Amino acid sequence: MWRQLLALSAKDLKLELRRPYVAAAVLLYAIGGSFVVYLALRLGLAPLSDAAWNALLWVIVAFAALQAAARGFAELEGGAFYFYYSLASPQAVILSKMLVNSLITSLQAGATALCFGLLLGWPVEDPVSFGLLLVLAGPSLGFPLTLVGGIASRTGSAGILLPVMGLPLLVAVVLQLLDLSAASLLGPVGWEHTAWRYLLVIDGMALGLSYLLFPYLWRS
Amino acid sequence: MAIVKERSWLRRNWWKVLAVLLLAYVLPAALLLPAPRLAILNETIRNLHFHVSMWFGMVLLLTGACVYSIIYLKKGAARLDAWAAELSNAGFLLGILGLLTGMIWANWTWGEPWSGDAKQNNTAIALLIYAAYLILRAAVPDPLRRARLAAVFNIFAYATLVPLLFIIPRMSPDSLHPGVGGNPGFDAYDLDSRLRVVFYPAVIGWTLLALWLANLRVRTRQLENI
Repeated sequence: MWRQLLALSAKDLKLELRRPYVAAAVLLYAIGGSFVVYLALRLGLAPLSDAAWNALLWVIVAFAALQAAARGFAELEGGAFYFYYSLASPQAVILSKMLVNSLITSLQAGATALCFGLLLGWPVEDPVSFGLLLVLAGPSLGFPLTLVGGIASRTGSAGILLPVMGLPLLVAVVLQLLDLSAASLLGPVGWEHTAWRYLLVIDGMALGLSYLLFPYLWRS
Repeated sequence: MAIVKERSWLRRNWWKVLAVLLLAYVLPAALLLPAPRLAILNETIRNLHFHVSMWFGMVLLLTGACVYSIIYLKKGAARLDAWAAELSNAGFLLGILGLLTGMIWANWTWGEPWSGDAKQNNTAIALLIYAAYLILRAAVPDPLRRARLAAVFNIFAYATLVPLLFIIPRMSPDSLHPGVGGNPGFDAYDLDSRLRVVFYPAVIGWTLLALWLANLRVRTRQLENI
């Protein structure tokens, strides 16, 4: 299974890399999102509070993660589905999707933070924790969304159902990310902050449940 | 498809009679029996028998729905899926009622129906997750696929519900809810015997009533599938 997992992840990554518009889309989404905020808040006229900076950043990152999850299973429609079904174990499929999704989401979070820094100011006081948080955003948002993306892709109306099912499930994660990020804007964030542990627990739970439950989706 | 006979006590009537008797006792008792006088809460402590006990019922029913979803994935009988769906429906109804009774209570004690308290917010999220479950069920026309997708989502939803309701609210020390941050509460010391004699029957009564509702709807589904 590990070989399948590696092969599938490498395949997905190669596919993403060979389509140059994917990287461009990640960047453009970040720039677009930040610029909309910049324009909407008339930032030339009034400064943006740290709390608003924080909230807007994570809302944009959460929506980016939703998009990434929607893309992950799009290629598994129709004939391709049966092809993979006959070749790979379901666990390898879901784990590879989770890996790639969280990688893309981490990149997206980083790109968005960068654009926010350029356009809206850089209030971060603890760059190490903040950077770690951007990396952790990948699995924390990507893991639950990958399974939900898998469910949505089997319904036939994924476009409608993914946000409906995904957003409420994400709230718990986004709240922890917001808490930690807000703390990193104020000063150094210690490991004793409970939200770290909570994020890791959610990630582990999403990983374990996806591993156990995806085979049932795969067979449906 | 033949009607699958419930071999269990669900086919019997005694628990339905019990639900009616308990609630017939709870409704007047909750409003009339003596209640402890606590600062801030005063008479509103009687809401314990509606708001808190309905949410106990909700958690019990949603736990049952999750268990049925797990068994459905193992065994795959349509009856199990019907139970998972209807227990979720009934739990969702209790959740809405619990939210509404809580808001009425909050309007008197906190001065406004919605104060952005951690428990309020997380409950709203939990209800959104279960609303998504109901939408998912409505969106998939094929019954077998619907059952399977819904079971997977339901297990995931329940795994998210537990931290939302029981862990995150306890992490924030400044909740307005009784028992937290210096507010008088219903914890082991405050929940005295005058409240217990109504509270526990209320929990059982609301749960059984919702279970009855779910049971009727499961049987309706089975009739529709013949």
